Amino acid sequence: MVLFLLLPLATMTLSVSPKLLYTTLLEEEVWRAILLSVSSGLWATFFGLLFGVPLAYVLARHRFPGKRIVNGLVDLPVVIPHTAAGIALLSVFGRKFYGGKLFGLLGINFVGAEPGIVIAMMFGSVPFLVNAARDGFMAVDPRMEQVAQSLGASPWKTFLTITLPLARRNILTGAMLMWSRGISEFGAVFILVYHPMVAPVLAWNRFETYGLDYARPVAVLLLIMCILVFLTLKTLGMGKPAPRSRADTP
Amino acid sequence: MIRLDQLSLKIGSFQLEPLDFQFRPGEYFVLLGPTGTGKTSILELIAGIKRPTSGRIWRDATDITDWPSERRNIGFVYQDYLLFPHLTVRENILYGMKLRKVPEAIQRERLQRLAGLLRIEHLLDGHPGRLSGGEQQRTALARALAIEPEILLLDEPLSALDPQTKSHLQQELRQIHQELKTTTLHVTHNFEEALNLADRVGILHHGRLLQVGDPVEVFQQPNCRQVAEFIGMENLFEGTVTHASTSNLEEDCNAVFTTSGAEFVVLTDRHGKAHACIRPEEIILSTDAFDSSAANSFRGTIREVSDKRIISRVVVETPVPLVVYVTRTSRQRMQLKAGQDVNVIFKASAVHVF
Repeated sequence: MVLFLLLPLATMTLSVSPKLLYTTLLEEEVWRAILLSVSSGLWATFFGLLFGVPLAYVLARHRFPGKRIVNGLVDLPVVIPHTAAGIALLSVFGRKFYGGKLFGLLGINFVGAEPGIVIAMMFGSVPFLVNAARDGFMAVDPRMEQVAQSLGASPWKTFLTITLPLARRNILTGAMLMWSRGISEFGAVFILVYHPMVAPVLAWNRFETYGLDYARPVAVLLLIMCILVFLTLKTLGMGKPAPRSRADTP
Repeated sequence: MIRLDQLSLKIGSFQLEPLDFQFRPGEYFVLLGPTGTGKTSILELIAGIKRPTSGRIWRDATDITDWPSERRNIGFVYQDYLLFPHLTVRENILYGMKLRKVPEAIQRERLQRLAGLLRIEHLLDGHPGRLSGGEQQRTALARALAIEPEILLLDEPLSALDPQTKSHLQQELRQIHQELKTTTLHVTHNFEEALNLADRVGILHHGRLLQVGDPVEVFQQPNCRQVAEFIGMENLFEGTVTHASTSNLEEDCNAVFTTSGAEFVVLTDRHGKAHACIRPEEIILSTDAFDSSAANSFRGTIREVSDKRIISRVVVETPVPLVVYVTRTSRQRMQLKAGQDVNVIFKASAVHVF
């Protein structure tokens, strides 16, 4: 199994000379694509934090009718095929459809434009953030929030000074996961936005037009980028655990 | 002062009966009751964490029933401390004062005073995760006291601690209360805490406050069967412990407990004011005087004999009244009856001093 995972990646990487890698990176089309991937991923993560973290808090703290459905819905994008997700998004945010018309009024266009990349990345990757943040919030004893309130903190102040800092590590890990998952999104992005090309779309484009040899350097660059993100994620996750009260394990 | 006015709560099958109660300024009130009887719910109602089903909560002439928790100025300490793990001990204690925008000079002064009182000065810059249970609970107390609360609510504050830390912290709680005079409501199921700390004690059972009064009085004269069954403390005495001035190691723990009218030989390392309790089944009754290894022996007259299923409860008038349990068979064989003279004998180790 290990070989199965390792061999294709190693073979591909070794078949590309560093020189070729370097010249490929200098191509404007290539570095633009990589930059677009990274920045769109960041935007997707930003909106994920903005809307996903409050949702995660509500899911961790409150009971309401239909909560199980919402929980299931959050996990759904992980299991559906990405091209299906792209088509689904297109049928809401396409120019002729209600979502597209609504945002069109604000001057935001999704098809063939950067906002489309952002929502395509967000759709498939936001579950990672919401789930991680929810777990983080659930690990904070609600009675700790009550103590803060008895000491004079409003619910909002309690959230900012107690709950959020204690769940910070989970949220951060979730955000990194979401970002890296967003960058690697191909199917949904491909359906919504072919141009401008993000890195995975570019790799596919090179493969289609010029064949394997031309697609490989792009794929290797993509791989290196993902490994860098993955390593950052690991170091963050393996850092010193937040000091927890012994009360957590009575 | 806080007053509860027909306060009641119903959650599922649990019901807290309408409760009328008024705290006395500066008192240490211990609410005693078995687990799952609604003690914590009362604290949560006062703190504003739970809303009552009906009834009002008053602070002097102000109705605070609908006030959110953060406006009430009530200190809350849980059994498991719940310190903020991402803040240092100092930041934990300052948390409430900072929110209240207490002037910095006063913040510093209060922090110093509380840290001194609770002996945690050397821990201020550390994080709570590294502290022992006792240290964590001291920090939690300092954090709650720092806001100079209207009332301090303690939810089983000593239950999670080892016996030695528990007894130290218990004495400290008393000293802190004498020093700061903060009105305190302490809930527990432990009689010892009630007897050692309480100015007044209340017995809560199945969501009803059954008896309120001076602790020794409540323990000696339960006003109903449920209270008697719950606390069931016969032969309870208040008095002082004195140690003979021998330096002999073996006799180190040998002491005399003096209560009004009688002296018992006891085994304890405590000094000064204390309570003593002798379990009625550990006292031996005999009609003839006999020599025994037991350190305590008295002669007295039986005042009453009553049967409780297979055992008989015999009250013997020695210098102090002593309750003795014997089996019904023994009572019949010895033909025990009121007015009869008997000997009562018990070992020094049968006297529980606390």
